[in-house]
Amino acid sequence: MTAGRVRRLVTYAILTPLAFVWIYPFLWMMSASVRPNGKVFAGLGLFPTKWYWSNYAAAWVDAEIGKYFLNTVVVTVSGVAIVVCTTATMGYALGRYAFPGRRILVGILAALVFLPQGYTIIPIFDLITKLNLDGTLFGIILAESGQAHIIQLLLYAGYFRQLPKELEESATMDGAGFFRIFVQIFLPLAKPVTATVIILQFIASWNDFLLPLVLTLSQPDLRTLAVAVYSFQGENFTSYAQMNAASTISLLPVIIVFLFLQRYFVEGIAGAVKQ
Amino acid sequence: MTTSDQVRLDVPARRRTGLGQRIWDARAVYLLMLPGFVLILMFSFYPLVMSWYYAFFDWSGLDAAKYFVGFQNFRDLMADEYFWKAFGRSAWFAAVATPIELALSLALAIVLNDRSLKLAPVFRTLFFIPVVTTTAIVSIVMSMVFSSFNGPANQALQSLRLIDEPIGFLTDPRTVMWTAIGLFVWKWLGQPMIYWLAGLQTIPQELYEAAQVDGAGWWRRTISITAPMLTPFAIIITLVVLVGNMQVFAFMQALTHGGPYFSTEVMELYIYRMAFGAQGQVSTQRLGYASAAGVLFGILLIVVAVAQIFAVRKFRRGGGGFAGAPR
Amino acid sequence: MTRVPDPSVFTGRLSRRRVLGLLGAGCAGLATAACVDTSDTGQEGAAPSPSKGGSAASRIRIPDAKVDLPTGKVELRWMDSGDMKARFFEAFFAEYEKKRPNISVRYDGTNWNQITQVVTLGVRNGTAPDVFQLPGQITMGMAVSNDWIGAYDDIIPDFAAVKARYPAGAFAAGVTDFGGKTYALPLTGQARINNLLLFNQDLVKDLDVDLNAEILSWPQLRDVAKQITKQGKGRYYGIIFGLAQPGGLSGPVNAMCEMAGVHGGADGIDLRTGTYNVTNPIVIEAIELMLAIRSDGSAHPDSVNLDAPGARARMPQGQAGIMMQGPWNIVPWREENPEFHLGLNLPPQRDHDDVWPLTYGPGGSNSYVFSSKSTLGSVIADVMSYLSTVEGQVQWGLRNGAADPPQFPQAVAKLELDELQQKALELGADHTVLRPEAAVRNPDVTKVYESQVPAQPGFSDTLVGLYTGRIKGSVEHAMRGLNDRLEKSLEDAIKKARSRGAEVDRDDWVFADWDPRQAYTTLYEK
Repeated sequence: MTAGRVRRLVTYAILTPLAFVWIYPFLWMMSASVRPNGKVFAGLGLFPTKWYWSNYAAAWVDAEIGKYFLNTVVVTVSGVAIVVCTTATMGYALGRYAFPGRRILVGILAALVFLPQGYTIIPIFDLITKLNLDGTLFGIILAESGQAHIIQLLLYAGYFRQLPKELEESATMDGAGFFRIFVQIFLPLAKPVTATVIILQFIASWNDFLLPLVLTLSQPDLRTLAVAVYSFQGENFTSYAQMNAASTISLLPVIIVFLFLQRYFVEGIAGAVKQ
Repeated sequence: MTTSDQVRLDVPARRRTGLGQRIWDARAVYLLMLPGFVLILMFSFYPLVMSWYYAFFDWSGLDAAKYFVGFQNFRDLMADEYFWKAFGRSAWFAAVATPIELALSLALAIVLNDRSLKLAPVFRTLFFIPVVTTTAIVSIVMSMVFSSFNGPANQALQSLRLIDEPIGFLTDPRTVMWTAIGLFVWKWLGQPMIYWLAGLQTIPQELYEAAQVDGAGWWRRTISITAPMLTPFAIIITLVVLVGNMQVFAFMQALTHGGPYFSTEVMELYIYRMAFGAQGQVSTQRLGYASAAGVLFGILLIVVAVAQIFAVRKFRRGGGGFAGAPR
Repeated sequence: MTRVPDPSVFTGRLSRRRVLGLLGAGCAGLATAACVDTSDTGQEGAAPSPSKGGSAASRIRIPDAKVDLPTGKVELRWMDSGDMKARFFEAFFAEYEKKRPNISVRYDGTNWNQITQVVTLGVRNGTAPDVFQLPGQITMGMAVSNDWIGAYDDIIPDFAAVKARYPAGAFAAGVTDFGGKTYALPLTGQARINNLLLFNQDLVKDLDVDLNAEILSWPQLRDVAKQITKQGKGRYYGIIFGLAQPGGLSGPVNAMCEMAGVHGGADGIDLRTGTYNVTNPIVIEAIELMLAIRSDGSAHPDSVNLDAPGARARMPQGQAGIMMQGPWNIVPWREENPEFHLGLNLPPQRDHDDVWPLTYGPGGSNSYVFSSKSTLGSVIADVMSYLSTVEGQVQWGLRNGAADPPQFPQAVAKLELDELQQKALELGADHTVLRPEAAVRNPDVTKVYESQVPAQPGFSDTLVGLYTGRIKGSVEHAMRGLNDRLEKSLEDAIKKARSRGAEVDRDDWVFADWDPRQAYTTLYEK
C-alpha cells in the first residue's frame, strides 16, 4: 500500500509540471486575450497586471462572433447528424452483411483514405454551385459531411460486426424488418461509437475554415466562427489580442463537448476495435 | 464471444445463386447505404476524378481548362527536384512522427489508465487540450517559446549548461524539421492517447489480478497481458495516426510557411505553392500542375501503403483482421 | 461481452477543491514570476485617427447621390487587403450607412492569401464580392476577357469627367483600361517607399550618427547595426527582418539597389536594355552587405522564422533597433505602444551624390475592380464617385495617413498629418517616379504573364537560401544561376504565349528612350 502511494505521488510529481507545459499555449492564449494588442508579444507570463476585457467586446462586436455562433452551431450539429447517419448505415451494411460489390466498395473507401487534401476544393465548389446550394448553410453542411469519413465508418463497421447474431434472429422472430432492426436495435447499441463520431466530426466541423469561407461569399451573414477568428489576420497587421479572444470564445464549446462526451468516446473506440 | 465471421456471413443466408439474385436479396442493404454512398460519390469521389482530369491540363483554375497537355505535367513533376524533396520530407515526417506519437501516447495512456490515480480524468483532459487549440495561435506561442532571442526553451537549456549558443529551433534549416515534428506530436498526442485508453479499458481487470496473484510484476504484466491484448488496436491507431501525419498543411503553414528555404516544405505545402504561386509574386496559378502533383503523391502513397500491407500480412500471417476489412 | 469501462475514470468522484488545489499549487509558484506588465498603454479609448487635426474638421460628409440608388435593403460586399485601408473604410462605411440607411456594407480587410482563394473561386460562379482587389496571380486582362469584372464607364455617369480628375499614369491601356473602357480604379498613388528605414529612437540615440538627420550609407548600415547590437548585450539587436514572408529581405534589397541605380529593381528587368538585373554588381554588393550584417550577429536571430506581422510586432517591444518596412506601421505602432518612439528616414544609400528614384508601374497601388455579376452598380458608382473627388481623397488620406497616399496630388498637398507621416509622405513624393510598362505598349504581353511559370527558387527565396546558408558558394554564382532561371522562365512563357496566338518578343521589354529619373509619361498620354 505504501509502495503504491509513493508511486502515485511520484506519478503526480512528474505529471503535474508536464501537464502544465502541455496546456501552456492554451493558457497563454487566454492570457493574451485580455492584453492590449501592443503587449501580446511583451512576454510569456500568464498574468496581465491589467486586464483588458475590451478585446472580448471587440471580438463580439467587430467580428460579429455572436451572429456567427448560431451559424456554427447549425452547421456543426447538422453536419454531425448527417455524418452519424451515413457512417452508421454504411458501417452497418459493411460490418454485418456480405453483399455483391462489397469488396469493390471497401477498395474505393480505402483508396479515399489517402486522398490528399487541398486540390479538391474547386470541384466541390463547382458541385455546390451546380446544386444551387451556394450561399446556404446547407451547402456547407453537405460539403463538409459528404467527404468520406473512413475512420468513423470503420469504427461503426467494427462495432456492429462484433455484436452477436442472436440480436437479429430474435428480432426477426418478433417480426421486425431490416430497417427496424437497424434503427431500433443496432443503432442504440452503438451509442459509444456514435459519441466518438460526434466528437471527431464536431471538432472538424467547428474548426473548418476554407469551405465555410468560400461557400458563404455571397452571404457573409452565414459565416462561421473559424472564419471570424482568421479575419483578424491581415497582410501586415494581425490583431493578435482580438484573435486570441475570438479563439477562446470559439474553443470553449469544443472543450465542453469533449468533457461531456469523453467517457462515451473511449467506450466507442473500445467497442469498435474489439474482436 | 461470437466470432464475427459467423454473423457477417449468415445474414442473409448464403445460397448458391446467381449474381442478380444475390443483388436482389441484398436490396435493403443497398438502400440503407445509398445516402452515404451518394454523398461519398459526390464530395469525395467526384472531386478525386476531377483532379485526375485537371492533371492533364495546363490550367490556371480560373477559366475553363482548355490547354490539354497529356502527361506533360507528370513528366515535369518527375523532373522537379522540389516535388521529390517535398515527397521525401512528407515521408520522413510521417516515418519519424508516427512511431514517436504512438509510443508516447501509449505510455501516457498506460500511466493514466491507473485507477488508483484519482486525478487521472483531469490529466486526460489536459493532455487533450492541444488537439483543439487553434493552429494559428499555437504557431504564435511556439515562435515565442522556441525563439532563439529570448525563448524560454533556449534559456532553460542554457541555464542547465546543456548548450552554449541558443539553438535555432525554428530558424536553423537543419533543426526546424525536428522542431516541427516535436510540436506536431505535442499537438496531436491527445488523440491517440484517447484511442489507447479505449483499448486498455477492454482488457478485463481480472487478468491483471490473476497475474498479480501469480506474482507477476508490473513489467511482466504489461508485456504478457497488455501488449497482446492491444494488438488489434495498434493496427487501427497506427492507420489513423499515419493518415493524420500526412495532413499537416494548416500546422506547417502557420508554423514555418514551409521555410526557412523550403526546409519544411512538405507535399501539401508544395502543392499549395504550385497551385497559387508564392505569395506576393506575380505569377499565374497552376492548378493543373498542382492537381497532377496531388495525384502523383496519392499514387505514391498507395504504393507505399500496399507494400506495407503485404509486408505486415507476411509478418502476421493470418492474424485477426482489423475492423471492417474483409478477409 | 462488451466490457463497459468505468465512467468514473473521466468524470471521477473527485472534488473540485482537490483539483483546484492541485492546479493552484502548480501555478502559484509561477504566478509571481509570470506577470506581464500590461498597464501604461494609451490604447484605451484612443480614437484611431492618424490625423493630428480635430476630428470635427475631418468628418466625412457623404454628398447626395447623383445616381439612382436602390430603394430596398441591399448589402454591398467589399474586400481588400485591409491593414490601414480598413481604418478609412470602417469610418467611411459607417457614415455611408448612416446617410443611406437602406444600404449596408460588408467590409472585409484580409490578407492576400485569402483574397486569392476567394477571388479564384468567387469568379467561377459570380459570388465574388461586389468590389475587390485582384490578387497578383490574376491579371486584369484575364479578368476582363473572362468577363469577371465590369467597366466603370458603364456604371458611373459622366465617367470621362471623373477619370479626368486622376493624374497622368493612373490609368493605362493594358493595365486598367481595355477596349477603351476602364475596369480598375486606382484610388491610391504609388508615391510611397515600401522599405523605409524605421528605427527605435531610444535604441539609436547613443550612436555616433543621428539617424533622423543623416541618411545612412551602405557601410554605415552595417556599422550601425553592429553598434546597436553591442549596446543591446543580447537584449536587443541591430536590425530585424521578416524572412518568412516573401519580400522580407528582397524588399529592402530591391529598394536599396534601385536607389543605387539598378533600374527596374534588383529582381526586375532593366527596361532600357531588356535584361534582368540580378547579376548587376550593385545587387551582389547589396546582398553581400545583408549577409555581412547577419554574420556580424547584428540581425535579430528570429528573423528567419518571422513573417511581416510577426516581425513588426517585435519592433515596438524594443527587440531591434532598425526595421526596413513601410509607412503603414507608423500609426498602429503609436496607438498600441505609446512608449515606443519611432523614427524614419530614407533607406541607406550607396552613393549620396547619385540617388536614383524608385520607379513604379501605372495603375496605382490599390486598384479596385467590381464584379460583373454585381447588381449594385449604382451603389458602387456612388461610392467610387465620392472617392474620386479631392474631398474623398483628403478624407482617405486623413484616416489612412501615409500608409496608402491618396492618388490626387491636390489631396496629398492638403493633408496635415503628424511629423513622421508627413516625412514619409514627402520622402515618397520626392523619390518615386512612373516607369514604362511593356503591357501598355503591347497588350499581348499580358498573355506572357498569364502563362509564365515562375523561376524556382525566385529572387526572394534565393536570398533566404543565401541568408540561411542553404545555398552554398558565392553570391555572384547564386545570382548567375538565378539569372538563368529567370531568363528561361520568361523565354518559355514568351514561347508558350506565341504558340497561343500572342504577338510578343523580347523587344517588348526594351524602352531605349527611358530615363529612370523622369516620369515616363509619353506612353500614357493618348
